[in-house]
Amino acid sequence: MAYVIDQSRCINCSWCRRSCPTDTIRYFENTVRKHSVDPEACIDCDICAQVCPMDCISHAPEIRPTPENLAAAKDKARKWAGERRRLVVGLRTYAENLVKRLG
Amino acid sequence: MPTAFRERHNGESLREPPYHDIMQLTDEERQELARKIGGLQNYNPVVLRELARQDRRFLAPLIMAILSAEFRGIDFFGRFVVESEEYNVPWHMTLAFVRQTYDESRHTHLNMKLLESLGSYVGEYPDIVLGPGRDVSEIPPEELDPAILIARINVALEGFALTTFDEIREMAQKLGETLIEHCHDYNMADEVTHVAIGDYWLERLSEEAPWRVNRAKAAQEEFEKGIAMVRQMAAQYMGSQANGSAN
Repeated sequence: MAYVIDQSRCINCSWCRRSCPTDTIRYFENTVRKHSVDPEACIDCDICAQVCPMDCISHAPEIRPTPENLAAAKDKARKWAGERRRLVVGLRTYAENLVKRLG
Repeated sequence: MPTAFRERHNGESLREPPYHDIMQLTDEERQELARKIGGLQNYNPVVLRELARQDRRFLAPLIMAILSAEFRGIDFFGRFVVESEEYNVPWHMTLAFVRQTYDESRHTHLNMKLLESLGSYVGEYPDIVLGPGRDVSEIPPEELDPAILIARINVALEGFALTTFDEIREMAQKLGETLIEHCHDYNMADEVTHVAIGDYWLERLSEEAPWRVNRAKAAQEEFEKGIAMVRQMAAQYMGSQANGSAN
């Protein structure tokens, strides 16, 4: 399953692209002016649909990536989540230590 | 090259008190800021937000960093309105920029009141450094094409503002800071409109000159990389510092 972006309503804010854990939302490479989802690396996580301020991203159950591509995309998403967690924990630890130091 | 603004105001912003960014601080001011926020490297919205989660006193510098960008927004959009005749853009596009100038002034007012409610004021913390405040003579002429300006400011910068406002709104909600939560939710709705206005006019301008599509995308990509790099570097630096102090 994958997600699709309604090209007539997308305002190109890029929020979905910046939030996508598999980097599968295309814009700069597109020949059309709007964002679009490359279904071959969509892992159906729903993050793009949740952040879209125009509510123009919807689920398209009929579009499915190949099993190999899906497995590779899930691997990429795991790495993305791990890196993100490390950054968040690092920032939080830094802030906690600094606040303690400043008293 | 647009000159109207420069002729009227000598290229200077009319803000009172004048912009005073972190690069212009005196030694004494730098020491004072470092004492308040634990080091100059922490004067970054990403870091301040994390510090504010731990301690309410960091909310004021966080709001000032956002407010500083809102002031720049008034300067940028207002300046575009004054100079729009020289850009030769449709009248309705100028009107859209008038609306955005008004929006930014409302955001400024809201953030100034938030600062007051936090016991701070404009001038207690420095301004952050942003591109739109540059003098027109410092900007290469090809970057002054209206489509390029829109791609950088309306689409790329305001697109990032969506994320920033949402992150602050979410943080304020968790902290029970209702005023900050409501104001930033309100501001975010305006930013969505600004991105939509930018995208709409980028398309209209590109109909007349198709070469603008790729140029605008390239300008946006470059601008986004710059902002993303600053956010990433701040997060990584803080992460490495935290790991170092934990070891």
